[in-house]
Amino acid sequence: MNEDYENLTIEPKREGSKLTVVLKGEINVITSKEFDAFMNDNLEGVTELVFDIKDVAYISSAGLKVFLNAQKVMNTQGSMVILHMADEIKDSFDLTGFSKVMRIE
Amino acid sequence: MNSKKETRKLSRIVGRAFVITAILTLLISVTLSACVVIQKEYDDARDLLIQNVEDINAQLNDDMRDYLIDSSVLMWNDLQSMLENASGASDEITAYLKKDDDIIRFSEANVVDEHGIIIYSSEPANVGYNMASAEETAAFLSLLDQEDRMSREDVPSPKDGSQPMMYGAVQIDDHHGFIMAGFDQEDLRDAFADKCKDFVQHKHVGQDGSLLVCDEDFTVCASTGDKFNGVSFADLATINGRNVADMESGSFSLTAQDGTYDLTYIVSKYGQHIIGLYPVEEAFRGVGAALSVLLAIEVIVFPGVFLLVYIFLKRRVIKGVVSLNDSLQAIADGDIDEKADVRTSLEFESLSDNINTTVARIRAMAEKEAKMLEDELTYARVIQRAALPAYFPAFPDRKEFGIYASMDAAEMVGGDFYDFFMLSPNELLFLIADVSGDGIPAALFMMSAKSALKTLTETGYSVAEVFTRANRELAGEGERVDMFVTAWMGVLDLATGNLRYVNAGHNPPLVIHEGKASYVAQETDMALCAFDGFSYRQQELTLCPGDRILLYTDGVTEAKNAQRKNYGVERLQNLLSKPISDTDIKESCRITCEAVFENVAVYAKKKHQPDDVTVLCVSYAGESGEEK
Repeated sequence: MNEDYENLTIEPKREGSKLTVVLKGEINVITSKEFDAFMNDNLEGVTELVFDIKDVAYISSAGLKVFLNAQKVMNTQGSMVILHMADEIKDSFDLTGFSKVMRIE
Repeated sequence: MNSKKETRKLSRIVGRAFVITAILTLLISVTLSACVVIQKEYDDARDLLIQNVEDINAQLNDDMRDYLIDSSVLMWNDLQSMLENASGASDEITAYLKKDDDIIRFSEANVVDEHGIIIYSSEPANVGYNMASAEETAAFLSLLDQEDRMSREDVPSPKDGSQPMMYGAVQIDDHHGFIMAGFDQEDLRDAFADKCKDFVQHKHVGQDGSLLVCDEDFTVCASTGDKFNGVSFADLATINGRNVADMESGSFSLTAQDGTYDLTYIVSKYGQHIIGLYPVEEAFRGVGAALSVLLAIEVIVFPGVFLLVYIFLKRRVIKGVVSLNDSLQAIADGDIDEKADVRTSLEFESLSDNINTTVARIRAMAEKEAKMLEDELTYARVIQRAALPAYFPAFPDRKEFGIYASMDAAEMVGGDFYDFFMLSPNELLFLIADVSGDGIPAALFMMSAKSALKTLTETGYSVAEVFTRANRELAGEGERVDMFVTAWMGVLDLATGNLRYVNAGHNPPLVIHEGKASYVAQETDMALCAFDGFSYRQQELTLCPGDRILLYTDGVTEAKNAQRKNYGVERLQNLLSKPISDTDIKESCRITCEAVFENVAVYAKKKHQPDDVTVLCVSYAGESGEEK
């Protein structure tokens, strides 16, 4: 059933304590697992976390959960910002109230 | 470290081994063959040479024997008349016997009487000698009864016995005596040399080999084609450092002369030497051709044989190994339906069967595990379903409202849930929620959340307070399991239609008023369990009799079609704006929910959806149930 869902590519770029993660594709219930595992492994020592989701078409609630977890970690470590969020996705962040606690630009 | 050592393919290893073995075998075989061929050519050449020389020797022996006898016959011819009237002619006879003329040269001549006594002799001392008195001379006595003529070699001379002599003898007077002529080597040398010349002049050894006759000093007196006549061979050196003069009669050696090597064989006789020379170059001329043929055959045959064996091995063994390996790889890659099937030998067959048996066992175990998990999920689903109110129509005796809800879980168990119950005789509480996650963990967390919400509402808190407290309670739990819950909960006052509600990050409900569906404009608060310490706000709206309100989870609006487009909020709104066939307060809720499920299913074309789909519909008839 995996082939029914579009893939997600994760391109991280680390500059000192700054981590930029460029995401492309869909963050659905399947791909969010990979995304979640990636974030669990890569947040150590990061004080500035930047997501670029210009090429992300869809984020499911499972995907939101990953951003939420990242925000919780960054609340203690430094700052987090999500760049280039599409309007449709922004609706999800607004709906769940996450946009109130996250920097979205 | 040997980590850099390259791991090669089996076929390459075997191929290399075969090439090396083939080359070694070829080399050894060629070397051995060459030795055998050379040895054989050498033996052939040697046999040819010896044969040629011995032939000459045998012929010369015959000729010399004839010469000895002929000499005695000639003597008899001359002596016959003298002997017939012998009485007074003994001096004449003796003089004749001593005669040493140009025709025949001899050293001794005797006339023997019928009693075996020498009666006349060139040597006066011999007269009166009894031939029977010595073994060597007694042999001649057979001339007195049966033999006509005979020759004998190496007989000690009766004269002094020192120098061996050669004798020719012929019977006379009808076996009443015999005449014998004796020759020493000196006497025979010239005669021998003459005969030799005749023999060797036109004889060859092989093609270019020569036959020579040399005198005692190894000066050649006769040779094939007169080629070496007059040449001295005294210094002809043999290869083992000796001089040809040192070679014994009947011996064989290799000699060098003017840079040419010859196989040399020598027979010495009567102070003469018969020498055969056979050029090495000619002797081994055939070797090259024979070796070439042999080499060609071996070069073709050996690699051919090895290639055939290699192909056979590759077909029967390596192919089997590769095939089994491919099967194992396929199995390792997850294709447990793969069957190993190499039946080219007993071992491969057994290996194939063992692999298949092992895989079958593992598969059976995996299937058993899967079955167990499936069973457990089924139980979990049953339990989860049992936790959701599912007996419809619910509250059949209440005419003021109808309610219907349904959940279609994406997995066997889902993260969505709903609940409704009478908070008081006049208040209906209903809620819908979506736990972010799936499977057993989400289902368990859902049960926990549902239970917490119900407990809190029953203690009398306002809806906002319930969410604020539930958030505080669940946040710790949610923190550990990485989950959050979006939820919408409302309390409908059945008398007034007033609906107090709170929204924790959930999709806005639709209110259908006078056949027109519209989303509830609302403030959304933070999803539950996302962050601790959040205060939720209560909001209100009023339902008019005849209104319906639909709650749903994002499984509805985010259902995807084949083009991966969301079902969307507009489509839902349009669907619910259509009039429904039955306006019964209870039935209308069920019809509304089922219409949503059906419409979503048609849109998604039964494609498997990743998310749970849950809807809950409440219809309000007013305090008196006037809609009925």
